[in-house]
Amino acid sequence: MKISRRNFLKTTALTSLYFAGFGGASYANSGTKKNLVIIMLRGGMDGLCAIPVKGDKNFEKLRSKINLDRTLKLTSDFDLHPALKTFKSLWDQNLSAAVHATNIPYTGRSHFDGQNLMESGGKIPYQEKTGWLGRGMKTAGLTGQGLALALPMPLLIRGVPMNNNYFPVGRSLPYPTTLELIKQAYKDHDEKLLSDNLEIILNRDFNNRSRDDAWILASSAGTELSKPDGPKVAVFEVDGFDTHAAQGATDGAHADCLSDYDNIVRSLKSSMSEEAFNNTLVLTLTEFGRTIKQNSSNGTEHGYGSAILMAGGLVKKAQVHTDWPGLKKKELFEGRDLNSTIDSRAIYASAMSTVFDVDFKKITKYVFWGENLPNLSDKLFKA
Amino acid sequence: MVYDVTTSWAMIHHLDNSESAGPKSVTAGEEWRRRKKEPATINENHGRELLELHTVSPKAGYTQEDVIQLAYIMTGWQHRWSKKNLETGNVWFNSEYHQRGKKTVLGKEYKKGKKALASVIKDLVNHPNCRDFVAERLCRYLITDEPTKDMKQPIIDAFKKSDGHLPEIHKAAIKVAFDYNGKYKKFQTPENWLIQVAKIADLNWPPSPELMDKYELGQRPFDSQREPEWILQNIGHHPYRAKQPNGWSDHSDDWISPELLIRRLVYAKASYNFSKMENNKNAAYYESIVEKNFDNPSKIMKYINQKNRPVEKHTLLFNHPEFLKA
Repeated sequence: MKISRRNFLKTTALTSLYFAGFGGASYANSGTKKNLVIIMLRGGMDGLCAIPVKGDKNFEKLRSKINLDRTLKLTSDFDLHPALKTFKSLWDQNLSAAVHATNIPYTGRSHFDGQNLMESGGKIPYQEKTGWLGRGMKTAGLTGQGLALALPMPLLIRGVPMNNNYFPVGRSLPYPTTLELIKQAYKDHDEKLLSDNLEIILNRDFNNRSRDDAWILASSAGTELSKPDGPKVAVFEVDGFDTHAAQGATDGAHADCLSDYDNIVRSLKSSMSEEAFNNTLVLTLTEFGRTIKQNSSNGTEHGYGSAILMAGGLVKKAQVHTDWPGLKKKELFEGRDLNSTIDSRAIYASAMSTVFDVDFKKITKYVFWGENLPNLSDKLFKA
Repeated sequence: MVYDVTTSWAMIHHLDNSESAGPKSVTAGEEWRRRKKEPATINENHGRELLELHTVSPKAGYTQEDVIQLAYIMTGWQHRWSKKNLETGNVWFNSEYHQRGKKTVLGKEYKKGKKALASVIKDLVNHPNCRDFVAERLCRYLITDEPTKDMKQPIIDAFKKSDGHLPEIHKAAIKVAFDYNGKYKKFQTPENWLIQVAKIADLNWPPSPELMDKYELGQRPFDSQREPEWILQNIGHHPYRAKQPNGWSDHSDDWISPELLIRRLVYAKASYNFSKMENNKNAAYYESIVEKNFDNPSKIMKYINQKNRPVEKHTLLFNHPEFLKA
């Protein structure tokens, strides 16, 4: 076990001081359109399955039935799950990176509460009716610039009006003249929310007759994100990470989910213009990691610390950022889960600050209720 | 009922309770576990959901330790496979997997053994948070996103008085819903909307009970039998595949977005394909359904008469704000 606790947070503190010394950096909009894509991994993504730690005998023993027999190489300390092929090819071009042993500060291990909190960014489940991304967009004034590739609007992006969502129905819409009459009826009844949404439908540029495979959605999103006046934010969902039983190793349920993620990234990359991809950040979000130890059904239980996969041209460099807590019994959270040593809200706040060109303090104030989070922008992302 | 559901085959199997083994149980000491390096561990899944979704809800303030203790109480409850293909078998209590010793859930102590599950469930359903949780969900579903205390109280009272008898609780909820009918209009979920369309338009849909009853276990359902599932999925409300593990939202705003509205536009139009022949021939069809179902029929008639083709009239009528909200 070569890896030891890094001074990640110490340097981060210095970074903040550096900014303070200059009385706040200037965030002049450079004029280039930047995009933020969040891929939600529902069910609890196993960070140690996606990015397993190398040479930890104890870890291998605890996961004797679900260890990977084949991996892709990342660093001297970490490997990569073989399903993450696109991620690996981006890594080789310095276009992907990861943060490990990180999570939202939620330790309750319930999907219901956890998924609610990963989207709301709050601390008490079901209390917030808006998502952290929606509030961030509102703070940055990004009205009407969000796109969810999902049928109902995810909580994550709620909180800013006029977001769009696309999940093709596979049929054509009623005649425009009929839609106009419905629009009038909404207006007559003062149904502003309905009117606003119909307005989006009437003006958008999507094919309602297409299929709804994840790669098609990603390709439509990529095209839209590349347009100078297109959306700046996109949200995807991948389900099925809750592998209590038969999690599998190189192949299996968890591998299939990781592969769904990888396909979205591949399709985004291929549908976006080079300039757009170079100005894009694609981050994952999950409710919690999974237990270190496999359970008796060769699955894993709900845990705590997980990993965030990052891709796109705004990634600073190919690196696994971590303040590694270790996997010895006493180093685990409650003796069973990978600990979280980096509050993942700091990463999302830094990402929003970088992509939306908004001062970091302003983001933490309006999105995370003034929570004292470290600014990691400089460390993780290109300005 | 909670006990029967908790010990039903599907729940025990799919929430992984059969794999849950007490670390202090007979099986924990078995030789093969040492040999195969498979120590006895619990699976918390079912225990957690029993607290969170089926009884007291997180508002009750239970801890991780309560979840573990409840999972201990549940160790031993396992499913048996049926010899017949695709049939559920029995649920039984395997005492060899049961965690020894007393357990404490929400401050109350339970003895070891098979009977503890019934006792803990009895206490959970009699917990004040369970009554409040059930009343809140019913009011939210039927009346408004933000149920008031006054609204919930008659339902909570009915719960107490009838000792949790569901028909009595539902009666109270329906009465409350009627009492508040004039005061609140709630944007309908896609499923409710679809059922309203089918009822009001007098469609050849949903499929008849006779057709649905032709389904035989182990057989592939006919396409016509699967149609309800597909249509519900297409309007964004699949009957058993909610995105969030706690099921579909009861909040109105969660059902308004461009793609969800598109589904209503498209399926209001498609609903015409399920029209009965006799309705298509009836010249007074729209007048009669509008008269029966809307507060201001002449205004609605004027609105739908802006289009001549019946398929357009369907689209207009079932996307009118007074239809979307009820």
